[in-house]
This record gives sequence, structure tokens and C-alpha cells, in this order.
Amino acid sequence: MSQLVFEQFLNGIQLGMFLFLVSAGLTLVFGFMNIINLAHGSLFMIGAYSIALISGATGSFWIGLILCLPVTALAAFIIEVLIIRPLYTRDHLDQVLATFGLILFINEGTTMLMGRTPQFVDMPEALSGSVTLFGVFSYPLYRLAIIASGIIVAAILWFIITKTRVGMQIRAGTTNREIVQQLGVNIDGLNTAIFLVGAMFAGLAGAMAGPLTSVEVGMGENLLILCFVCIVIGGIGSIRGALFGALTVGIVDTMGRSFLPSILGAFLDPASASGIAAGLSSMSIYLLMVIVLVLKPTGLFPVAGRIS
Amino acid sequence: MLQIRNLCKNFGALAATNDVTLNVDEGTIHALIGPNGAGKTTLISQISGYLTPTSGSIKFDGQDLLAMPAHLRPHAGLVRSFQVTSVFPDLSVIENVCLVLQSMNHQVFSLFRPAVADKAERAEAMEILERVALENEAETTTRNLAHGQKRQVEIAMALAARPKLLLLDEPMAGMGAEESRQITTLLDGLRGSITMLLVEHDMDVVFGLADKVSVLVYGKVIASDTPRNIRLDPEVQRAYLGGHEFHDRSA
Amino acid sequence: MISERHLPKLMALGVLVLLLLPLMLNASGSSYLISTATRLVIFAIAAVSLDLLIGYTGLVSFGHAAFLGVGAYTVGILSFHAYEGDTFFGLPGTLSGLIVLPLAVALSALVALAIGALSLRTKGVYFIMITLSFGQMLFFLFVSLEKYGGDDGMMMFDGRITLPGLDLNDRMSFYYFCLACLIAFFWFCRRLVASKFGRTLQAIRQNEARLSSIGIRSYTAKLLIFVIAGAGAGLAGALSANHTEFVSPALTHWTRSGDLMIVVILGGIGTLLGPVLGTIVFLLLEEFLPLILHSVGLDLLSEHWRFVLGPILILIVLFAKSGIYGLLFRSRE
Repeated sequence: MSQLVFEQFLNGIQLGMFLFLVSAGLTLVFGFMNIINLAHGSLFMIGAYSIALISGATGSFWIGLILCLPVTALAAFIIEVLIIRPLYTRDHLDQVLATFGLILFINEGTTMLMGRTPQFVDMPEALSGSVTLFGVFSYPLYRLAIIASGIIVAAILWFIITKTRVGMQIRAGTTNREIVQQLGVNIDGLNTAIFLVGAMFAGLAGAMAGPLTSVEVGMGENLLILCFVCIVIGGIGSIRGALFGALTVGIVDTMGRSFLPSILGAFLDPASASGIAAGLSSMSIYLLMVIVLVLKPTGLFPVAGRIS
Repeated sequence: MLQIRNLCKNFGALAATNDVTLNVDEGTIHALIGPNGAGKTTLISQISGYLTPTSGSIKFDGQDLLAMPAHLRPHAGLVRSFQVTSVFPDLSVIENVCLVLQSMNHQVFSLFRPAVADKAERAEAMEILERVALENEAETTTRNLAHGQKRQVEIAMALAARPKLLLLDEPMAGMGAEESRQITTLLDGLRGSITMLLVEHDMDVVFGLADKVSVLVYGKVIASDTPRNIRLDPEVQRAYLGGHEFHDRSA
Repeated sequence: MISERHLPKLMALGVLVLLLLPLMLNASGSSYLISTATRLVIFAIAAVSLDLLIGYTGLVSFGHAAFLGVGAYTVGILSFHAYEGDTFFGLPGTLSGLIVLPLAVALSALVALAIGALSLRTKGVYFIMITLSFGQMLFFLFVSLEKYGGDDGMMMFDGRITLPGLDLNDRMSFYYFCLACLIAFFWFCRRLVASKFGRTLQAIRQNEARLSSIGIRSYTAKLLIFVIAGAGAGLAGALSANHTEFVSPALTHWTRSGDLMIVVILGGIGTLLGPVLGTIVFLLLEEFLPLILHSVGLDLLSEHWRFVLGPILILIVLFAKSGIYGLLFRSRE
């Protein structure tokens, strides 16, 4: 039992790291650029398809992993210049609609190019085994690698945001846009840079998800909704909040799915227990978000000075 | 009419309102002056309920004001106007005023009767617009008005709330000289029927209108007296009026 | 562009067209399109109700499909128990429209009251997200109702609800019944937004912070309109269940809420008529864009017509700010 609990806990952290990789870009774009980008999930999907194609063609997971970054960045650059830029001064409603249109375009385009059959990515040999943790628990190496990459990205982001000049500009811009403009910062350049970096994290997450799930159209949207939950729980614009939100959502979701059926099974007959448990565990993160927002209407780590 | 006792409001380490005690007597026009950042708007916001004080008490008409939700204060006769113009930009001028009237008449939840069918309400609104000299702009969408005219809408809305005590936060800021004179005359004419607490930078207006003047510096009331005595108060001179500007304009 | 002054005449004309539509479709031998027209009318009810929130009050609700679900499942569950002949918490099922429809509307209003009471504590983006969350919660709730088909949903084996003097299983009668609902609801909303309450809603959208200083508590007004809009969507959901004689969680999926938002924005927010136009255009695109693309030889795109719809949406957002309504009508000023 404790093996199972521990394993599911680590799975939760691993899902949380995925969510964090995608949420980080989302929350920065949202916090700094004040843009709701529903198509952020499409960048995740583009990352996943890139690795499926490239590693399929070259036979190397690693080449695919490295090349998926420039591919996603290129896609993000085109999106930013053509569609996101004109949306800076528009309200959230317009942004939601335009980026929803973008999702339709990218999803159908991908279906046309790749067909409806899911793609699969082989796990790299070097990461395909299991390791024994604390001399007792066995856990897949690949999933540990994902957790590690999440931690590395979080560390890099923490360093950039708190220790560098650009980070200071980003923090200032998230709190008060006018200040940054008056400081003579190249806002357009910074916007594009943030968008590209956020997109590459999402692409990286998509690539790493490749060996774990089937690569298919629509994979981005399901994840996107979860990521919105993460950044809203954490407080929009806050990287710390995104990390906290992502880990919480990852753990709550995973633990709920694995243990609610047996917990409910103790009280109810098996048939209805499994149905209710499935519903409840899918609902749990939304319930969590509602509770957070009812108690703290701007999330757990609100960025100071920001209204809505 | 309004009694403020030992009012404090802290923003972190900053004491925006520092132990303020102030009385506004019924029927008077009471001016509140002070340099920028002295905490005048912060004080007005606490009286109107937009901010909650850290400590102290405010009594209005004998009632404990701090126990009263902000949206009920206008119904008790306590009405404010805003320093930064805060109108409803996509409604017409007369609708801005009607909106206040419908609130005062408890008709917010009138769901089916067309709003324009209420002739009495429109007539009353028109009357108020005439008082602030906006009758010719009644049907204009408010966002299309000149800045000074929006200030007049602000005052019309305040009057429409049938105030007993009117908190005016720099009502003339941004108005032209002509409108400013008009509003000064209007306020002067309301003396006695409406009590006013007036924040204003224009010393001509202050000394022309006020029965009493309080001076706020760094969140503290440093003097509260008749305009004549305030002019002569050396501490006020030193702390705020600073000499030349004051003498130039009131000489 | 047409002046808004001609609006009443044009709307009367529009109603006339909608009234004659089934006859024209029958005459032209394309009576199968009556079902599409019915879908359009039902969808328009939901879109108009959402416009009350987005367009008039400035409340961007991203979970409006939840109320479609509540309305539809009320119908579905009552029908299920009527068919099985058993009871639901001691109450028998029924197909009687005089019970089912008011109950569907009332339950949707009740759910909207609960969701609104909590959601309206938040503002802006957080409101968008919390309504989305509630929508998802209801979606998964319906998925978990294994007795009522779970993921797959359930058929209404006894057909549509019954009303005295009207056979709703006849597709013409059902179309006219839905049209009557749309016209009544549209008229109700027109009255509502032109009333003093409607004026309050617009004031909330334009400058909510100012309201307490003129003695209005915006929360109560927002809650009331949220409940009214929820009830409207519930009606649409109940009709939709009857239309397809099928109820499933798909009706409450978040992309349905997205579709509704698209229709409202596409048509022009804050106009009531815009969302109806938006519905017409959206469903016509869905129905005919594949055919058009096919006829001009773009066969690949005709299967993937959303590939074309996406850019159309983006272009409309970027270049036609006030939607179809704004393209057609010139404001009176």
C-alpha cells in the first residue's frame, strides 16, 4: 500500500511539473502582456508532434527533443506577430475569441497534415528503466527525469525573475505597465521574448509527454484547461503561484483518481462507487479552484497592484 | 452632522490618516485643504465607505457610520463626488442622473417598465441638469462630453442623490473658468440646505465659499478654523501655504 | 449600413421569415432542414441569454453550457423514470410539458443562483475561470451519473414531452413551439434591458465601482441577471433535449460554452439581436461551409471546414469590432 501511495504521489508531482511547464508561459503572458492565450495548449501539441515526426525520422529521441524547441519557437513567433500583437489593446473577450479561432485553425491543420491516428514516441533507451528509491521503492526513470526537468526550469525561471535586469522589468511590468514604458524598456521586444520562452517551455512539455501519452489533436486543450486552473489558484502573473498551483493540481488529481474509488467503495456498492469516484476525482481540482477563489478572489499569491 | 473621532488609516507603515478628529456642522460649507498627498481623498473615501479605517469612529446624523455598508450611506443622505471623473460613459447625460434618481427611489429592480416611460424621473433629472447648466447636453452620450462638462455631470449626479451631507472631492478640477464660477455660485446657493465637506485646491473658491476650513498635512489636521483665522495662522502658512502663492491669490 | 431606426420593421420581417421558413423548406423539398432551423432557434435562446451577461452586464461567463445541461437533464431524467415506471427520490417521472418545462427552468435558475452567489465574489479573469470551473464540475457530475448513461448519455425512449393541444413529436409543431419560446424570451429580454434594471446592468458594465456611491449594491443586481440568464439557458437545454430526444454530458462541455460565446461576440454583444444573427451565421457556416468549399473544388478543406472557420473568426475579431450587428446597423447617434 505504501509503495502505491508513494508512487502515486510522485506521479502527482510529475503531472504537476508538466502543468508547471505549460503554466509558466501562460501566467507570464497573462500577467505581463495581459493576454489570455487559449492557443497556448496548441504549442504543447506542436511540441509533441515535432518530436513524434523528428524522432521518427531520425530514430533519435534526443535530436527530436532538441529540435522541437526551435520548431515551437518559430510557430510561436508567427502567432505572436500575426495575431497576438494586434490583441494587446483589446479586451479579454476578443482575445478569447481570436485565440479560440487559432485553436480551430491549428487543430484542423494538424489533422489534415497528420491524420486522425494518434502518433507514438519511443522512450529513449537511456531513460527507459526503473530506479530504486530509498532502497525500497521502484519508480520509472523517465518520470523522474520529467520531475528533474521541471525543477531545472523552475530554478532557471526563479533566477531570471529575481536576479536579472530583465526579470526586474518583467516583475515591474506585471505590477504596473506604465512604469516599464516610462523606463524606456523595449516592450515589444520583451513581449515577444516572453511569448517565445513561454512557448518553448510548453513545447518542451509536449515533447516530453510524447513517450507517455498518445500524440493526437486536442491533447493541448485538455491540458490548457488544467493549466488555467493552476495559474488561477496560484494567482495570475505569479510564477511561484503557478508552481504551487501546478503541484497542488497534479497531486490532488492523481491521488483522487487512484484512491477515491477504494475509499468510496468502503461506503457504497462497487458499481455506483466507481461512477461517483470517477466523477468526483475529475471534479476535485475544479472544486479546489472554486474553494480557493471563494476564499481568496484573486488566487493564493496575488501579484500586488494588479486588479483582475 | 458629521463627527470624526481619532480616525487612523495605515497603508503598511504609511499613516495616510493620522488621528484625525473633525466636526462638520449642519448647514455649513466646510473646506478641507492641504498639499498633495496629505490624505484628503483617503479621508473622503473612509467617510463614503470605499476604504475601511484602521481605527477611530465616524458618526453621521448620530449613527455609527462604520457599521453601515457603503451602498447604504447615500440612502442615509451621505453622498460623494469623485476627484477623478467617474461617470457612466456609454449612458447619456440624463441617464446618468436618472440612474441616481432610480436608486434613491428604490427602483433598481424595476424589471419591465421601460425606463424612458418614467416622465417624472426625467423631468426631475432635467431640472437638476439645468442647475448645473447641462440641459443642452441631456441626450449626449457622456463619453463625448468635454472634460469640464463631465465634471458637471459628476455634480449633477451628486445633487440627484438628495444629499444631506455632500462630500465634494475637488469638484472644480479640470473645469473652465466660466463653469467653475457657475458651480461656485450653485454651491453657494445650496448653503444651508445641504451641508458640504469640500476638498479644493483653488484658494479663491475655498475662501469664497467656506464657513470653516480644516488643514490636513501628512494625514493630520493641523488647524481647523474660520477662513479668516486660517489665513493668519502661522503654522498653516509654514506647513502648507508656504507664503507666496497664498498671498498672491488672496491679496 | 442600415439605420437602427428601421430595426422594428426589420425584426417584424425577420419573424415573418422564421414563421414561413418551414413552409418554404417543405415547398422546396428540403424539409430535412426544418430540424436545422429548430436547432438554430434553440441555440439562439441560449445565445440571447448569454448576451444579457456578456453584453449588458460585462460578466464574461465561460460556463454557460452548464445551464443547458441542467435543463436537458431535468427533461431527460423525468423522461427516463416515466419510461422505466419507477421513481426518483420518491417522485414519479413524467413527460407532461406543463410540469417538465417549468421545472427545468426553475432548477436551472436555482443552480444559477448557487453558482452565481459564489462566482460573483470574483471579478474579471477570475470570474471567467470560476464559471468555467463550475461548468466543468457539472460536466463531470453528469458523466458520473451512470444510471443515466454516464459518458454516453441517454435516449428519451418515449419521445418528446407532451403539451395539451400540441403534438411536439411532429417536427413542424415542435419548430413553432421553439420559435414561440424564442420570440417570448427575446421580447422578455428586450423589456428587461430597456427597464431601469437594464440601465443598472449597463452601469455595472461601464463603471461598477461607482455604483455603491449612488446607493446601488451591484452584487444583488448581478446575481439576479445571472439567475435570469441561467433560467433562459435552462429553457434552451430543455428544448434541445426534446429536439434530439437525447441527453448527454457533451451538451455541457466547455467547448459548448465557447461556441455560445463565439456566437454572441460574432453577432455583436449588447444588442440581443446580434446573438440571434450570430447563431444564424454560425450554424449556416457549419451547415454550408463544407458544401461551399466542396463546390469550389477544395475537397480537402470541405472535410476540414473548421480550418477555414478559425481564420474567419480571427478576422472578425480583429477587423469587425462590433460583430455582424455592427456591420449591418448604424447606431442612431
